[in-house]
Amino acid sequence: MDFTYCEFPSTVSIDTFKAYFHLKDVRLPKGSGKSFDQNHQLYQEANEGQTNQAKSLRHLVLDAIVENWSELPLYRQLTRREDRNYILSHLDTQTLPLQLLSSYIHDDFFWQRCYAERWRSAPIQPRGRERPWINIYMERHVQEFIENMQTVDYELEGEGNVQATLDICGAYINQLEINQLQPAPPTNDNNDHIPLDYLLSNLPDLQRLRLSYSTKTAGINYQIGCNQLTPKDILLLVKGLSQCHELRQFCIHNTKLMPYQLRFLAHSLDKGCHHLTRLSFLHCAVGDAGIRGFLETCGKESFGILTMLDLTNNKITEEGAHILSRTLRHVPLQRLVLRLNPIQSDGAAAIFHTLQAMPIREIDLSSCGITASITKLFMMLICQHTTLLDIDLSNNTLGEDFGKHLMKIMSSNKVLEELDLRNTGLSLTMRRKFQEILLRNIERKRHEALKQKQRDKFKAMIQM
Amino acid sequence: MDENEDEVEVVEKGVDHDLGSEADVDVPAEEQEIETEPVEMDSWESFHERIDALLAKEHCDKTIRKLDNRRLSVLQRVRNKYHDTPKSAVERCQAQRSQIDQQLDLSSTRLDELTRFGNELVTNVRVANERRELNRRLFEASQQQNLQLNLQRESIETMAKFDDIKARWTELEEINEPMMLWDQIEEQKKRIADIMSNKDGMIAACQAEIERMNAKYDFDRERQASDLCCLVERVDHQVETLKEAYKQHLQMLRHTIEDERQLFSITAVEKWRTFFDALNANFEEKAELVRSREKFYAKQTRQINESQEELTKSTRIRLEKECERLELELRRTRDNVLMNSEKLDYNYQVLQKRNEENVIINNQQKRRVARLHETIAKTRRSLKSLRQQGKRTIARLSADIYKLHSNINDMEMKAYHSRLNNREKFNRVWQINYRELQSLIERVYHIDRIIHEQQLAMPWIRPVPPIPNINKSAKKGSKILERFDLRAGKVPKNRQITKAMPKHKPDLKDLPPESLRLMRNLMRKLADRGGFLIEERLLKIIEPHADQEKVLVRIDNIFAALRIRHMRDMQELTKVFLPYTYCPNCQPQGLSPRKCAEVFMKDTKLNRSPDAFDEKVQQRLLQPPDRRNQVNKTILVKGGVEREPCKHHYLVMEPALCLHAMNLYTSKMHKLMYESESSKHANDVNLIQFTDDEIRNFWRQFLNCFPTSKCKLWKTLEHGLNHYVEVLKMRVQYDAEVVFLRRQNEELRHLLQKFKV
Repeated sequence: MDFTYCEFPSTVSIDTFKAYFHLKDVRLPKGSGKSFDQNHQLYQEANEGQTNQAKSLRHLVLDAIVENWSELPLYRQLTRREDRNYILSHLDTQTLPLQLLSSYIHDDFFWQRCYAERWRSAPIQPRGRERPWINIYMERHVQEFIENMQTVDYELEGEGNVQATLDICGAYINQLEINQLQPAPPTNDNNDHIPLDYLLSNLPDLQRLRLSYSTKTAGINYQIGCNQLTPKDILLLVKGLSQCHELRQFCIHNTKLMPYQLRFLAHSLDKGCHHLTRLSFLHCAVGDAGIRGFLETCGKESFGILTMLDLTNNKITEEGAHILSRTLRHVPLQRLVLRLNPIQSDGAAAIFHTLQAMPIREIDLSSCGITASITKLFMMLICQHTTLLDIDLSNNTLGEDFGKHLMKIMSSNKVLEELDLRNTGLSLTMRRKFQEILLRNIERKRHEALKQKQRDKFKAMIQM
Repeated sequence: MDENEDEVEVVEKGVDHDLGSEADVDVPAEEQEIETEPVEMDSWESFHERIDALLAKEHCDKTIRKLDNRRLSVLQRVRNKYHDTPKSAVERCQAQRSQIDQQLDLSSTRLDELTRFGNELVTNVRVANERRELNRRLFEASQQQNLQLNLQRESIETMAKFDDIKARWTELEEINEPMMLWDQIEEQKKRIADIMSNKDGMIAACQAEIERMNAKYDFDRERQASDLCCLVERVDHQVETLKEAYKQHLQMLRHTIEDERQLFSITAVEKWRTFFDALNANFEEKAELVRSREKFYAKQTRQINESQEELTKSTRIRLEKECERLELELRRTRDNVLMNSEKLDYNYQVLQKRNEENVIINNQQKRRVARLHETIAKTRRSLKSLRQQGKRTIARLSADIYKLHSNINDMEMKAYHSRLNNREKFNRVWQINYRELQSLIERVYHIDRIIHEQQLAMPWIRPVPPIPNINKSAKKGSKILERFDLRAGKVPKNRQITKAMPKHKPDLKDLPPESLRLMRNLMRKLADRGGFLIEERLLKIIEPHADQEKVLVRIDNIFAALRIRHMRDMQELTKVFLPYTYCPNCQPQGLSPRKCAEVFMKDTKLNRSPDAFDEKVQQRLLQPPDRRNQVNKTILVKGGVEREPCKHHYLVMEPALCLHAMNLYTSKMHKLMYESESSKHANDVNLIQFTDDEIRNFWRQFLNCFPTSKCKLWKTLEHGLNHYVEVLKMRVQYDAEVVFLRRQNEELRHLLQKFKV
């Protein structure tokens, strides 16, 4: 089978292709990025050298179109699919202006090629939930744009540059991950970062936002406190966030947050983002005061659909845990992370008490300073809770007795799938036994799922 | 992916990571590395050896290593368990399943295990790190507390000392001896130096603490770097091993699939081959059969050929004989044919002749048919003309009839008029005669009375009472009718063209003022409300006209439907409608609701007892019109509507009441119409109510006015009076003579006197 004469394989996925043809029997066009093994390629090149044919008129014309594309962008005017494919696989992705490309071409293959040529390694996409490559490209583009923008530049150029970028990319951006922001130069009195309000309010489809105000490198602009939010920063961020009506996941990490700032954040997230389901403050040193401020600002009905709350390493003590447990009662959380917060046994007890009313699936209480006094409550939790799948209690001093008690009642829970008890003072054998029980749980569940599936199939057959 | 997450984790931590203490992990004593692999294992096990080898090579932290060792032992145990377990029912059951399913299950469990193991391996680093961080925090807290405590204690001590020194200074002031002062100052100096040295010690301790922290920070950073290294290495290894494992399992799966395919293909080939062999054998058998059959058929054909030849010979002889016979027959037949042909010729001639005749006859028939058609057409034409003529005659006759009808009507009119005229004439003559007679009688009676009173000196008695005029009342009625006819331009009601409304426009000024006041509003209301009385076609026709014209046409039609033709009807209408109206200027609140209710109540009552109502109405109608008016007025007064003050305003009416009033009016008019009709009829029939006999009697009555006694009296009186007149005449003569004689005497006397003188 010879496919060198046409361009169709560039749009067909490899899996589909493999299903129909054996790769050894097939000759693919050069440069389509689909040559599979070395031998084959060598053979192909040798073969190509032999043929030494003149290019067809069609190819010459298409080459001319590709060369003059910046003046005369012809794409939709070409009616044949093959011609389009040729153009897609031969257009120069680096030098052509992004606006031109984005307005004329939406083809997935082309944008994948753009991404691969600009950043080499492509992100792994979960199967079945692939997103258009143009979105991925634009997101990365905006991310780099923001991360590398100096505050001075922003002030000098005003919002024109940002406006231009957002005009091109705004419609494609669903998730944004900003891992660092450039600090202000030391000549400035205040440490303001670039304002994010204009940016955020112009991304109508933004669903996931991961934000950090820290800097990763200590350059000439580095100064103490540049990893913190200034009052102006928080006001602008809050203003922008209240415009993000589609936001579903919000994460802010490695940034020190003051209690008053959390109040602002809570207010804007509550009022502006009605679809918010995941909220994370990682390594933010929020503290009890921050938690209290955050929760006091929320009303009874706010964050009604929040399913994940991540408060890793936030200096929350038992007081904060008590406040949390009191307020979280009406939130349908599925995942709660309180890692590295010294909430002690009392706080854990309060949290466990609240868990009874929640459809929670995963809870992470590792390194929380929990002691063996929690044993009784934990046993109750294990016995009674029916939705909990994953418990992480590592790095807490629980002791041998805890393990013994747990061993007695462990078999009464048929739901739990994972229980992390590393570094908790339990013996290895005991942990292994727990592991076996949990494995059995998993096995049983899988078996039941299989049976259910067969039953469904059978029912469907009967109905047919 | 977990690896990625952990990488991020470590990077994140890098910012505020520092000192960490030794992770005190309890390691069970019985833990040891078991590297003895079972010998007979599939590729999966050999693969694990490689993993173990990879793990062994790692150089990393002690704690992590411990965790890993534990992990390994777990794995080992699980592996052993796999081999030790006897083949249970489950496995037997599994054996029945297809090889691919088995392989799939196996792969999934093993890969799950592997990933779990790898996960644990990688997360171990994180857990250990966290542990260290936790310990560090605890340690830092205690250290800080200690330091703070020390500092506080020291500061309190120094403060006490400082106070002491301060107190001493005041004491020193009192001392006057220089030596003692010197000593004391020296002592003070010593004490101050002591405090200073204490402070220095404290500062040194703090600095040592800072040193320690810095050192720890450096150490931690290094360790973090090594952790990172370890983590990266592990992650890489894990990725590598997982990749390889997956590849291997994929390969194994592929192998099993291939095996299965091979198996399938072998069975299929076997099947095919048996089929093919069977086919081949079958084919040969068949060929044999065909060959033998062929031989048999060849023999048979030969035999048949021989017999056929003999048969042909005999047949030829027989045929030759036959041929001769047939030739003879042919000759005979030819003769016959000749004869027949001659016959046929003759017949043909005859038939041709006949044909010609037929043609002629046909033509004749055709001609006749044509003629008949012509006659039919003619008849039809005449029929049509006749029909038209008939129609025309009918039309003419109907026109005649109309004309005659109109003539009759005219005649009737004329007759009516002439009757009226005659009657008038009759009346006039009657009147004249009656009056003359009356005057004559009066004169006679007058004279008679004079005679009686003067001549006879007797009281005069009227011999006959005065005769009343019997024609009086009829005269009056007819007069009113006449006047009314003149005014309204009456059309006889049996006339056919009733649609032509009387175009005679009565002067509006004839109407009473209240009627005028009402009309303005009423017209429009009626036009709006009484739509049901108008034909729908008409509504369509008047669609495009102006509003004013529409109202006019509608009013016209409604009036036609209500049979309102005269001013009289108009007044009647006004009367009926008046109670339902009110003056918007004087009564701005409109008709009182009580009034409305009353109206409706009355209506329902009437409906409930129609008989009573009829009687009432009849009574009312029977009453003379002025009385009826009074009744109406009383009703109005009873209704409590005072509209006396507004004489000059236009009246307005509730639209809802309009229909009700209209209804009332129609019922009333119906009664009235019925009544008047009958009366009119009576008038028509008995225009002159008296018979000839009556007239004759009437006039003959006058004969009785002069009885014979009276006549005789008058004759004798005449005679006497005549005589008396004679006497009187003589007396007059004598009187004249006397007068003359007297005058003569006078004159003579005069003359005598003259002479006398």
